[in-house]
Amino acid sequence: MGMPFHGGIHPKVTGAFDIEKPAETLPAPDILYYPLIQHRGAAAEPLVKVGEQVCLGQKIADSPAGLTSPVHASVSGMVRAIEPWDHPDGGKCDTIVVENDRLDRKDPALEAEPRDVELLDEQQIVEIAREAGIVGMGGAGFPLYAKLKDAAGQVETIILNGCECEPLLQSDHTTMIYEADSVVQGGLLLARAVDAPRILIAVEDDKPRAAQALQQAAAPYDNVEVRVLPVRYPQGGEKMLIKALLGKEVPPGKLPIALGLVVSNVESAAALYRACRSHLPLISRNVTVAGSVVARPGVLSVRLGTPFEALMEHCGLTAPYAKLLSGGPMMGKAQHTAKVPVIKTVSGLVLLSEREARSQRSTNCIRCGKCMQACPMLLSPCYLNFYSDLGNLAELERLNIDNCIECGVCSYSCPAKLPLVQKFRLSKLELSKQRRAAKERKEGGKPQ
Amino acid sequence: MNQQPELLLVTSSPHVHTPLTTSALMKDVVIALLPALCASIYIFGIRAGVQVAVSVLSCVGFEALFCRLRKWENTTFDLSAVVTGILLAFNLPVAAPLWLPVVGSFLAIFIVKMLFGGLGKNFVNPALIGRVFLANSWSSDMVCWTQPVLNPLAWTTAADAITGATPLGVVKSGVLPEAYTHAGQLWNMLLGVHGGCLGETCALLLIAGGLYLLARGVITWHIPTAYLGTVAVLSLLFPPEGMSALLYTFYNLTGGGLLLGAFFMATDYVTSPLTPKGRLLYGVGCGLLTVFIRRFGPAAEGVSFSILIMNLLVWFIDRATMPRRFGEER
Repeated sequence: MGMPFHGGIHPKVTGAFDIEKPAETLPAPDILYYPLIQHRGAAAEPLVKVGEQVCLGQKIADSPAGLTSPVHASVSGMVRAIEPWDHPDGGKCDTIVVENDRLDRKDPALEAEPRDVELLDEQQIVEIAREAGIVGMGGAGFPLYAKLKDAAGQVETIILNGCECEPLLQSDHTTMIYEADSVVQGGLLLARAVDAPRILIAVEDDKPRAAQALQQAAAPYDNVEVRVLPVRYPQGGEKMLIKALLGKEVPPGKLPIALGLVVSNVESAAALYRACRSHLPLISRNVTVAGSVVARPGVLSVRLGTPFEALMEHCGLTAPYAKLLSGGPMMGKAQHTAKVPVIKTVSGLVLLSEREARSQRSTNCIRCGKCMQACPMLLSPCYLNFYSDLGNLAELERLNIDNCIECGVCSYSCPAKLPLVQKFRLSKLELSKQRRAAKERKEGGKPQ
Repeated sequence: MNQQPELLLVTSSPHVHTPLTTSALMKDVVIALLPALCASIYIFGIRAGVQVAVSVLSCVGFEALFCRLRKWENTTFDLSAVVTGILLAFNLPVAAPLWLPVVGSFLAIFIVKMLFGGLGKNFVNPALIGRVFLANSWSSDMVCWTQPVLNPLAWTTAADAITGATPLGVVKSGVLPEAYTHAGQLWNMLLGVHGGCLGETCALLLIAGGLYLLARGVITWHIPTAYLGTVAVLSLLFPPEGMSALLYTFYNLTGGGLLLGAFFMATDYVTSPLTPKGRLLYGVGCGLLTVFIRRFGPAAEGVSFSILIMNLLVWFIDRATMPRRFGEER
């Protein structure tokens, strides 16, 4: 058993709810929006033109770049526009807008007979992961195939992350309870893709039903083990999860593969299984809608491209909301409009009332050290704050500000209500600007 | 149902915050000090309460005045001035003239705290600076010890004073009188029935207050443990000639301001290190200095100076004890 990671918190939030039924399917809206960036890496390029008819499951964008992910239509209909549209990660992004014809005409590839996944070889699995557009659905959006490609033989353990990154969100929870088989099968496929001998599924102890369902699904397989960890934020973070499970620390600037590990979100694993078995690309996902002002909070099965407002309308509101988050209350991104679409990395919508969203006045740092006690990356937010205020980038670098995973536990824990992680984001931006400038100077100084 | 606002709030995450606030932390410190305050009123009479009231009021008043003069928002609601006021009064003899805490508060709040930028910016403990300043400027008033009266209604004045009666003063003389070895005197040390500054005598209730702060997570165990542990070990190992090591240790721990200092003054957030290792080092440093000053210095007591000297080293201690980088061995 590993050592627990340092620090962490149990955030106090209102609006928690119980999972009573499988994710309810949200009817597809009239218009769907497919941003060309829904993943880490290069933007996909449109494969369709305005006015063209598309089928459900048809690949509508892809890129020849090394790190990218294709985008698929989640309905059948006509491409109405390809234009910049509001993106849940902020700003605008080129987006394929499709008008739903409500016929759900399927791409011919989807009609093929289900595959026997046992017969797939390593390369086929990686290829399917890429072509189905599967990315890390916990929020990071790292293309799954890129984790598997060229990793064969280097991986000792596949870790399936069922630790639900954030409070309130229950999308992974629902997947684990009702699709435990797909999760385990997805894990087995991942292991096969990289020839890994062992699969660990991590669940937190506030989800006993998920643990039970997974244990049942994993029972026939000797190489699959379900581990229950004491609940703590940010255990869903890759580095924290590896520390908690195995006691190992991912070196700075490295990926888990450096330790012979591949970490995948449970829903991504289930999506891989569906893609391998039923030829189904990633066109829908579980999305939690929660918050104290939501009338019927729950987990919905949503077609990608559906605007947030459709989900909110379905779940109803009991009071006005002042803040709309894509993601959870700790790391979610605040939206300026409910017209942004659900993309591959959107695990939930959280709505906050005016009272909950009100920002508290910050006072001086009293050096209480609560931030240091909470930081899972062993940083000293108190001093990072001090040097951020001074703009002393050299000291910030020395104090490893690059290691900050922006989980927000420092800002959460601060009794003086200082915007700590928010300042660090700005400082990191300054630091990378400075580094870029230094690099350019160095290169420019060289004789041509 | 109210109107849905047209514009949404957009801020950088996180979007939820702990209910804990600076004033809640300070309130906990005040609560932890209250039992000892009640004990001191019982032991030394109502004048002890008046000293504390004068000190608190002048600390809060000076902070409010400073904010007013500088056109700052009034910061007294964070309750830190109340804590400073109580601690400053706890470090005065009960019979000290009532203007003494006012002068001390001025130095503590106006000069040391506010002129450096207010809460969180002072580099030494304001209450301790106040005490040391008073002790050096009005030394006879600051050693005007009185015997316990055990009557909450008594009004103790300098006329009731007797000199050289603090247990530490007796220990300093090098010979323990017969009475100091009796169980009754040992109990009096724990209950606080002996001469000393008005808030520092009741060992049991100070420990109780300290444990409350630990249980509430306001302070961590590192500083008090390292501080008291160092004093205890040194006292056990090096008692003065002809004195029982156990008795010497007992009087060193319960006499003077050590418990008040270890639980409430050395743990002051602003002027103590942040890293666990740093806190241990700092506690050990306070302990070493306290024992050295008490043993070799001219005065019987050394807690204030020890903590103040260690305050000055806090930044260096923190810098030297920063945690290792995640993912790398030290």
